[in-house]
Amino acid sequence: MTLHLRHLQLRAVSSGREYGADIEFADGLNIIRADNSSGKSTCMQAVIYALGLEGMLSPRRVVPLPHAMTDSIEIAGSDLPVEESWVTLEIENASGDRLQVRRAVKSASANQALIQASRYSADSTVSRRDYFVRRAGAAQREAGFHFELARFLGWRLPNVTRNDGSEGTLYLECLFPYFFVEQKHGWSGIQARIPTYFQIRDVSKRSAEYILGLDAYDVVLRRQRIEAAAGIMRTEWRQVVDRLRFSARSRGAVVTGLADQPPTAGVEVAELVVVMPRGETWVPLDEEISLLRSQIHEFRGRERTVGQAAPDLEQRLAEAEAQLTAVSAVLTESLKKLEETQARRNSLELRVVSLTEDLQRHRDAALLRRLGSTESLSHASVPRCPTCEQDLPDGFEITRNPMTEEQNIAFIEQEVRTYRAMQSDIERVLEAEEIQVARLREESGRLRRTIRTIKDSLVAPESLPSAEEAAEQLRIDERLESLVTFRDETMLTLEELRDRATRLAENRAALADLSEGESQRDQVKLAYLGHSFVDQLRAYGFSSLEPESLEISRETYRPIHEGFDLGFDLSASDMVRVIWSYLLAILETSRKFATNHPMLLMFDEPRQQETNRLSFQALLERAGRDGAEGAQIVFATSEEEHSLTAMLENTPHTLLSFPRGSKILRAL
Amino acid sequence: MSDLDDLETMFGSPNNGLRFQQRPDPVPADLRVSWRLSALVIVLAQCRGNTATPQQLHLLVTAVRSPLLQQAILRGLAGGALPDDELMRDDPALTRTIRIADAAGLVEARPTRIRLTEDGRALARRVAADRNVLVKEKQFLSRLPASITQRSFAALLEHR
Repeated sequence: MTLHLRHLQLRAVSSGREYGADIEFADGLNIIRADNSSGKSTCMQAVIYALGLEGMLSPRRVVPLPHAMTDSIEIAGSDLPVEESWVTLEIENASGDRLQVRRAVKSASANQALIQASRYSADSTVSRRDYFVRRAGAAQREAGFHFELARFLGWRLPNVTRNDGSEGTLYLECLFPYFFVEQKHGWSGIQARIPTYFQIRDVSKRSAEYILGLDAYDVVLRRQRIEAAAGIMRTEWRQVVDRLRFSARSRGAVVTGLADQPPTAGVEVAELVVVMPRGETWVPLDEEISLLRSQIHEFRGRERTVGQAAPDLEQRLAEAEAQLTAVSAVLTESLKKLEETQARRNSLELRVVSLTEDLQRHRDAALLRRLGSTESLSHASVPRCPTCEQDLPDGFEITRNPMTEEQNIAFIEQEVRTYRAMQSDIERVLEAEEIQVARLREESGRLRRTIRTIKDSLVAPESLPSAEEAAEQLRIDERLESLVTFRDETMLTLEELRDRATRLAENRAALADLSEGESQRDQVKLAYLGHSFVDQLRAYGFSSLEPESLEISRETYRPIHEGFDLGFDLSASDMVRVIWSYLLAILETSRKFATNHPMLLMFDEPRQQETNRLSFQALLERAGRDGAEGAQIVFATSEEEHSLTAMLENTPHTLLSFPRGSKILRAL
Repeated sequence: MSDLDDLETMFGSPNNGLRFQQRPDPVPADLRVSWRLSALVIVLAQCRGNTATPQQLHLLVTAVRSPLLQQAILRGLAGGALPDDELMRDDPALTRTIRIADAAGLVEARPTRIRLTEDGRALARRVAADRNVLVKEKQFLSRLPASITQRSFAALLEHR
């Protein structure tokens, strides 16, 4: 799996004349030497541009090339307008196939998204095709250049999880920062330039795993899939639960034992208990159903005329009126309770809102203090009154001993959690009370209707069948049927929930089975990487910390010191040494083990001025040795030629040096 | 023996190892010195000539903490005050804040008007420049007229 550069060609046309540069790349260590601002970076960036990889430098859609290629070119002191310009690059893969790509920089006819490619196979067949880059699908579609480039290199780009949980391809832009360090920002930190705007979760970790060909990668991918499946199961569980609740509500029932979340492994799904309000208490659904059944039974075979039914009807009228009075009293009571609960809920809501505001103000207060808003009062930790010299602690009106902002923030967060819990509790109470009120309203409506129909019956001719009795029977029938259906639904739902819980338990078990630790092979690889890294640090004269105290994190695959990322504790020169060592160590690990590294490494101006001669010489020697063993390493530098030649005396290399004061881009 | 006796014995014996330690108290963030000084200077910075009457300040500084009052003020300035909008405010804490700010050299306080000093302006600029701090508060101030005159506020309070 290799990518070696063969030939780079830059061309700009102005007033009918061609200007440009041609650079040949050899195997092994290549050094391009030229003065500052003579066009070295242009050449390095042109490689990135030709491969359509400028997305690794910035999400902005600008050409990463200087104005000599886009606008005007300076030839012998005068600026000539660029009319047309393009970049051509030839690369070679492991099987000796060559791919020549041409991409327009400025052109009236060709789009910048177009890459014209010619593939010269080792068996001397040639195929030409146009591809697109920097557009959606460039990495996934046949006509996308990055799809083709990955295929040419023998890379199977893996799927990765995005921040929103969906899956997508790991883009080439996220891999190349391991092979190319650009001059402007590349040296400010380790992998300062891994693009995060693709929204790939843990992108630098995923890239490192892919480049190093770690087994951990597979495990992570499988774990992410299992987690995603579990997420879907949880959502579906919630939908089933909501459906049943809705169904219960519409019948004036409450289901207990329904959990919003599936139970954790090893816990049975609880039985569902359905209760219905009757008067002021709750009765089980089964009891309500048998009550309705017995009422229907009473009606059966009792179809009588008004005359026959009159004494009964009168008694039932009295009963119904008494019941209505009782129900109305209970309803008034319940409504009052409901109102109180609503008021409690509203005040809880207000409380949470004001706590959240207070929380934000505390964060602001801490920031404002750091901005120096209390500086004029004192330089000590507690502000002092400039007049009376007494301490002015925060909130001096109410205490002499205030919490710090951090303590206060933790305190409020705790309070918010408590109030949130109270809120969800009260929501449940509210729901039950609403059902109760609705049921009582229905009951009182039913009683009113009963009273009306009994009265109607009593004034009807004595020989007619009793209409009230028939209507009442119909009402009870309907309610009975609806409740029986609901009981069946509850049982089916319980079975469904149990089934889902079992599947989720299987999912969790599968997750636990995924080997937590890294594979044996990974361990050997990472140990080798760490060894090569520390070895180079020592060779390059790293001195901010003891080189042996640095290691490669098993979590992030980046260098760490005592568990922390390297950063401000390093001098600028040591940061440069860390980057040299880390990227070369990854390359060296790839020489020794099977990985996906293309065995190419490009450093644009490796900041040797910030280190020292000995460090740079050690880097050149190491790179020369890696180059002799099959890697292609390209350094662009402005180091003086005589000093370079001296340093490279015993190192195999190819030096391309541009004389002092000359530009790389010139008239052809 | 009752629980009460137990407790009395426990507190009565000299070497029971019982200790009381003062714990810090939670404080509302708008009583924190950094917050109140900053709120004061950004409000003053919005006023014409960086000067305001005490009345005007009480109303505006209270408003940066209260969305309801903010709506009432914006309605009032737009000439659409509701009959029950209550605008007069007096916050004793703000009176103290003004005195502290005066002593700290951030403002120059006279009985009838408070003016931002050069130091106060510098702090206001720093707070305004930091995009992560006092976001909602600055949002409200940005909805007010570009510079609030004392006259427009007197009108707001009186013509009701």
